[in-house]
Amino acid sequence: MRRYTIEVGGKVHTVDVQETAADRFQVHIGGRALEVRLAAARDVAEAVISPEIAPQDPPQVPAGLRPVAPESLPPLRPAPLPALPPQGDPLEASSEVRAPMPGTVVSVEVAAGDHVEHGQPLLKLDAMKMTNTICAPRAGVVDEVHVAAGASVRTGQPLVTLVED
Amino acid sequence: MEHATVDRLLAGVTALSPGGLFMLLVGCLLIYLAVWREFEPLLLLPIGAGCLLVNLPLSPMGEKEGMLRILYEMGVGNELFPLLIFIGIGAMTDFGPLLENPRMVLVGAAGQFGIFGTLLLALALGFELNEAASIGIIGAIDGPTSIYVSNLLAPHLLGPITVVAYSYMALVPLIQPPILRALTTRKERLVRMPYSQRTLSKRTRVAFPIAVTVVVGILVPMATPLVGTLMLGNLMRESGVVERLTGVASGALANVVTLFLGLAVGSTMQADAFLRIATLKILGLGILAFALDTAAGVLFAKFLNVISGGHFNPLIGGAGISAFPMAARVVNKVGLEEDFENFLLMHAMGANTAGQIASVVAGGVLLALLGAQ
Repeated sequence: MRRYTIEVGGKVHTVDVQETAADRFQVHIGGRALEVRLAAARDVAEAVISPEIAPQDPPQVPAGLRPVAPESLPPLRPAPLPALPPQGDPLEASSEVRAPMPGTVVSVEVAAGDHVEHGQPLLKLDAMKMTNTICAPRAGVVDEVHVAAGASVRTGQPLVTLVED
Repeated sequence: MEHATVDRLLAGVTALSPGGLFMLLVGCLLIYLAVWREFEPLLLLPIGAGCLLVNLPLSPMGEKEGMLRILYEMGVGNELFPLLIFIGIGAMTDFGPLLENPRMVLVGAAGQFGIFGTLLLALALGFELNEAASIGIIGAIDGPTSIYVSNLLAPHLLGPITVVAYSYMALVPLIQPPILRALTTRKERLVRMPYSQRTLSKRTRVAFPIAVTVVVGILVPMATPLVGTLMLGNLMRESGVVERLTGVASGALANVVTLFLGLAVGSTMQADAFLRIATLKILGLGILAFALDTAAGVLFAKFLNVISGGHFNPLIGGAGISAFPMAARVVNKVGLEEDFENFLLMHAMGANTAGQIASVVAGGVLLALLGAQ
């Protein structure tokens, strides 16, 4: 599942997107659950979810969801959101470690609740037949591990959520 | 027992020559490197075995009706085997990282400088132009291209050139890192290049091999066999409709041809052809070609870094060679040594596949320059 926390006109919404099949998603927004079928996915240059977005930034709405979102959804504008002041950022205390490239998770070295040091290996990701070790970008506690060994991940997909001690 | 009978029974022993014995040792050395050092074992083991079999005293293997001679004439003398291998390589290669980042083509092109640098040095060392060009092609760091070009231009050097090319290819993880570190500053190695994945349409993926074949074929006709077979394999892979052919080309066919090619190349390593000063010179020039290639790629990437305002990690230049995927892995590893979060792998893979295409083009350019038929 992927959670987008978006701010529209000063109001913060949480959008949960659960992939149920390759082209079907269950989208939870404001207490409502919607079945969404993805008719087409096109990457629009400025809306690509990529590691270029620092984890502290408010995540952007993927453009791919827009064309198929039912009309009942509140308008989701992918226009650049104003940067939130650091104090007001709900994600400040936690950060996602995201996949730097597409690949397959070989092994997960930590579990939720573990304390990790800066640079400590979190998991091993096999990409292009090369095993890469993904390490903790900072010290903290593992809040959630989003993937298991054997999972294929796309670039930018959250792997582990770290929170401060 | 009659003297003549003893002679006949011991013909093998009496026919031993110092050169032959030395070549047996060379064959064993290649097998050792393949088995215990895992230096490109798929090629060096059959090459070593071929060398051993052909250099045994009075060995019939390399004679006119011998198996190794037949294999040589079947596919090395007429250039068939390297091309069949290229179909397999194309079927195994994902050009996606290059298509996502087409500017990597420049890096791949820069990485071919070593070919021409080595060619000039070989000329200076007294090699003929056709020999020098064949030695320079070691700088393509591409086994099948080296075999293809050297067999057309200087068949008598095929053995040493192939052995040198594959041996050094196995040494890429040792040869490259010191060059990469020496030519870049810590600041440059720390340049982060986030990777944003783009979804490539099937149309793009299918059009790419066709377009490359047509464009390269028109510009460099001598490269058509190499690029055409490489791209044929890739077209089969990306089309997704001929999985049986893709599977055979990258699996069974590639394996069979690798065995035949290795044995046949090994059989060219006969004492009188191999034990020459030229072989030692090729050994020296080969490593120079590798080093020059890496250096040229890195220096060009440094230039890209300057014009991009510091957003291009010069290490990626080191991947602009054909040794796939070792060079990209080496670059990724050297980058991670400085910053464990800086994954350069996907960019390096793009440069690496560009290097693969560029090296076959460079091979074609060389053949055209030398007027090979």
